[in-house]
Amino acid sequence: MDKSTLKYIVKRIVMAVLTLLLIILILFTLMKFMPGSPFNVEKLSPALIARLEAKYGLDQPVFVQFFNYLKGLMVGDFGISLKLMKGIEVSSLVSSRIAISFGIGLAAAAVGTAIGVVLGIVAALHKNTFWDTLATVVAVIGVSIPSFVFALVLLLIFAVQLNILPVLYDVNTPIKSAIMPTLALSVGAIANVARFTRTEMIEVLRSDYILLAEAKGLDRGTVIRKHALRNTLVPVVTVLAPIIINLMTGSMVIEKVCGIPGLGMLLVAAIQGNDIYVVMAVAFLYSILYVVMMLIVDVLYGVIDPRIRVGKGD
Amino acid sequence: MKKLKALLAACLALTLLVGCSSGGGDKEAKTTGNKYLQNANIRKALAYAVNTKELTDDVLKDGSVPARGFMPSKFAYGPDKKDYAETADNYMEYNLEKAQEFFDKGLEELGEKEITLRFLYEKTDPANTAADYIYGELSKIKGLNIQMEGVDQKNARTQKQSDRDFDITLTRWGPDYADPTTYLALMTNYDKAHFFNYGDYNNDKYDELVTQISEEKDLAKRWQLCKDAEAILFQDGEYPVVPLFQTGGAMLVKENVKGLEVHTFGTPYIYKNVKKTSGDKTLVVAKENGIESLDLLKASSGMDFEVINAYSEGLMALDKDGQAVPGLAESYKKSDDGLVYTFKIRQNAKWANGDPVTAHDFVYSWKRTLENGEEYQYFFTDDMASIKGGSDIYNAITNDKEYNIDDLGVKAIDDKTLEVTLSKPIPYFLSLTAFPTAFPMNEKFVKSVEDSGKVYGADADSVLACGPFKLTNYVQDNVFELAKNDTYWDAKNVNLDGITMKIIKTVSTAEQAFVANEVEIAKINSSLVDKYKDKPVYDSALEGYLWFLQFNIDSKGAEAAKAE
Amino acid sequence: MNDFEFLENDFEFIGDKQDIHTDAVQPSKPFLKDVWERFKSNKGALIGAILIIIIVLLAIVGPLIVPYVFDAVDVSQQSMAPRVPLLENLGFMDGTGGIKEYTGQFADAYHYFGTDQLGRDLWVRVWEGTRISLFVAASAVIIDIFIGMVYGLVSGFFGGVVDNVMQRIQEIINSIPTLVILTLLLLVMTPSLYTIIIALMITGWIGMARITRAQVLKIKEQEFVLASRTLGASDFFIIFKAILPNIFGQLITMSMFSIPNAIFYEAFLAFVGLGIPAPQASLGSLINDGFNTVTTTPYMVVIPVIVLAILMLSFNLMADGLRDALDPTMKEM
Repeated sequence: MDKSTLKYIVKRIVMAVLTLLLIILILFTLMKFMPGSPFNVEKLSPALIARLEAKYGLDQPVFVQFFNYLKGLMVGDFGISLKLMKGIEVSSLVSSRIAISFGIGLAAAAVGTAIGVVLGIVAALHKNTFWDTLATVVAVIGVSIPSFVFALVLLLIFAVQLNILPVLYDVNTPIKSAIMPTLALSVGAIANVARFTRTEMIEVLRSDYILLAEAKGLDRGTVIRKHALRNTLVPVVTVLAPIIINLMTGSMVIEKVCGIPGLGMLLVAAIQGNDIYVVMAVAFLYSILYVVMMLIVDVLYGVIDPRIRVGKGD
Repeated sequence: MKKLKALLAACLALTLLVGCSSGGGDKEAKTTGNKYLQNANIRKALAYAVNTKELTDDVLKDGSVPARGFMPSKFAYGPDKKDYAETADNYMEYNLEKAQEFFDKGLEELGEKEITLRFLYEKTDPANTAADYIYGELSKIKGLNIQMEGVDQKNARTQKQSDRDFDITLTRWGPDYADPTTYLALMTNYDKAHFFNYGDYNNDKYDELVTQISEEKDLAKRWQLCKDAEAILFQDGEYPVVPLFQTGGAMLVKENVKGLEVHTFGTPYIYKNVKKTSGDKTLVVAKENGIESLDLLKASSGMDFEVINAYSEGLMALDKDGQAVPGLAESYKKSDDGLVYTFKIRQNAKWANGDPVTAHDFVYSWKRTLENGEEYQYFFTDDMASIKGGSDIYNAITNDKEYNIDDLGVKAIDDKTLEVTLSKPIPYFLSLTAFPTAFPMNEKFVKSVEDSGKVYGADADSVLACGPFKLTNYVQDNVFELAKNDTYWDAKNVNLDGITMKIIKTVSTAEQAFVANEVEIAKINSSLVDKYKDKPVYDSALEGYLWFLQFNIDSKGAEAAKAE
Repeated sequence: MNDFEFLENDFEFIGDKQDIHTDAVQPSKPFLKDVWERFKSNKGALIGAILIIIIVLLAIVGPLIVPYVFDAVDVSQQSMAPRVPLLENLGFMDGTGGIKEYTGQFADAYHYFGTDQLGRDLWVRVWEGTRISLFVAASAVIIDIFIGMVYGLVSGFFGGVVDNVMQRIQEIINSIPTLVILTLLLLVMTPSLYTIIIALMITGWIGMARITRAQVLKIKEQEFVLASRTLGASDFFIIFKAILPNIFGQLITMSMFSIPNAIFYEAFLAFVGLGIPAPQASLGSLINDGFNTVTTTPYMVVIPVIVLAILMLSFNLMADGLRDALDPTMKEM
């Protein structure tokens, strides 16, 4: 790796860290403005609530709380839950669910990308024929219908009618219970990836070097495999990052419908219960994921296409 | 191009302007109540305007019943052994014409042609559906405009109520104990542990009467006084609240499952006596919420109590009719003045680790909760169990003053004898000992958990059972597993081998699971009742929550403002 | 060279397996006409555009053609199945299958989309809901474009420190997951029509800003800008007269793509309970309400889903078509 690439990467990493710090600040501020309190305002007297707030350090000025929180973050202390599981450390609450949510998200991304790419290629190769239309229709349906509707449909067919997959997520059989949520979640990704791949592929097939390859006498199959595919797939990488992010976060509703004890459910419940530290932790986790993903994509893109890092204009 | 720019700019400015005005205008806390609602006729009109029978029978359809007054049914029984609700008057009537009449009179008195009221509600079941329906009903009154303000979570609603940021709110109260005073206290205006009187209803006669009730020693007279107090609330000129309905719990229960008990206060669902007439001996239930804490210091939600009540027990327990029967205590003696209770704890009452259950376990638990409790800390004060010294210690703690925890009127005479002294002879004390906050804790075990750095109740190994089941596993938001506790004193009468509680947050998913035979009990809501109400798997039981409309009145504040 | 002989099979005609582009000089057409023709030839885009027009018309006119209102609660008419005058004779949408039947005083009533659990007519609610969904989406997008454009213009034109700072701010906002921001924002500001628009627009302007800035950077260096400057034109003039027309195409396309996104987000928010407050309805809240009864009265959720799907579909198709028509070489969004 040469010096300019290294400089580029380091620069991006520093930016990422700064961004994360600012994100924490924004999230923290937003949390302070949220109406409601994690404590039972209905049954407890104001004096008691004041005592509870003092006990958990919530009565101190906002910036003091912020610094304490940051200090805690350095050592991996994300605070304790005030409502969802009172007294339990947020880190243990969250860690058990990361594997599940991210697992399903990644699986959906993988499935979505794989099927999407195949669909896109098929559509491009048989442009304007029946297959193309079919692929387009499938892709379009995937984009237009919300994923939770799909989840429900799958549930009704496979779990209730045919009884081959479980309705409820069972921690003892994580793979089997995850099939339906993964499929439902992947539909949107399939659609996006398919459309994008199709457009890319068509562009690539039209370009001059393909024409040259064919003129040189290579058969269609080799042309596609050796040249077209590679050039098509590279840009696909760039759309993967937002797709993966979408899947991680979009799983909130799927988790609700399928009863999966994941991060999305935790976030929703925490928001509803004003469980400040849990909300911060999960939101922050999502942000880290996002920032890291963007970083990886930027770096990859920069590595792949030297024009980007040289001509960045900063 | 320039014109386009100008147009866009104008649109943006307009939108921002409108957005700010509608979002920001109503934010001031209404510290002097709503001037329209201060008119008694307006309030009375609203009381007659809602067809609660249609609401419960055709809209909610889940076994809810219309309210007859401020007290729900089947939770408080008098010295005559009758349900309060059966012998008290029915104050609620639906009559749209009368409602319009009262409303018109009120408008005349106020000198207005029409008024707008803000309606605060929570967007969860059943409040969501009920609020939609009530909006429709109230809209039928000419001259009344209702502005709906729904919030997504209970906390937001309670916060707004606490800030007095509403005109009408749809709220509910579940009884803490089996006595009318748990409801009557809500409308009093002197300093109390509950601050439910968000509308600041202020009636000195009412306050006096409620104080008198708490000091009345003659039980029959006391019962009558309760009814008198309720009557005041629904006289002309009053109506601080409009009771609507008592929640029903509609559920699907597999036909081979019998013996599930639904209680109107304390622990809502009790599994000890469930029997399965066929199939295996493990019960699988669908529950909609996870637990918040298994530590008695912090436990307060219905689900917390359900699980705690499955693996633990109190001095007394409640039978299927809500009456107190011996639990861990095999007998008790009550002094003539009703102030001293002496409990004899069973010889064969044991903790799951072999330790015997002793009187000391109760003393330790109660003192611990009074000192450090975060939810039901007021349990031992004169607002609930009225243990002698409880209120004094509680006040000292909340005001950062000195206190001696041993002044609390609970003493272990010996290992198996517990003596409790009350500050006043409350008739419902025994049923309170069945409330999970009054359960015992094994001091040695608790200390060993805390010493190992864990939080009590964090997982199955950090709780100790003394009840019909023991906790074997739990995954938050997913499943709780309990197994039969063989060291339980009444183990021979426990039919189930275990319980699995699956946490399912959407009703439709729970129903699918029921149909797919993955759960045997599932709660449903009004949207599914039609499908099942004629089937044998359908069951419904009254729960203790009473839903009502509360008005933001602040009568005294308004008078003071007028006087200026 | 001369003794090189070509055999019969040395060359293979591949003419019909490839798109052979022939260069032809066509008469020059006015820009808009050119765009219009390309757009017309794209079947998908045409269908999309037509569907959108139909739906918008229905949203405006639909509620007016029936005698019902969206918030009239009448429990005696609850959960009635859809019933359409002509179709019912074919046995489809004939009013059977609901909880309450079309008997007695309702024998001649026609609820085209049926009624919901509180007896409110769904035809009216769906179209009023579509109105709201469209309004929310359009407002959010318009504001997005405005803010995004101004932001990108300022950032790109002035460059230097200004540009740097503005870019960093943009990155940061971009890095917080939209959903988290949306949820938290809507909790802080009680959900209402306007707050949802504000929330939706918080993150949407970034795309527009980025494109505008790229465009500005590209154009800034071109000669005609230099010429204008030499002639004494002000910055303002240059920005709007020179740069704007060049990004107009992208502007339109971008907005067309963001609308379905905004609609979808609004539906999503409604589904998790943060949507338009009752008794108003939006497509998302209708889907949310109908979700619970999908096994008993599926039409309550199926109909709004179909409308939503058609909307999203049409916007996507039309946006695709517009993009191809406006600039056939542009493929990156």
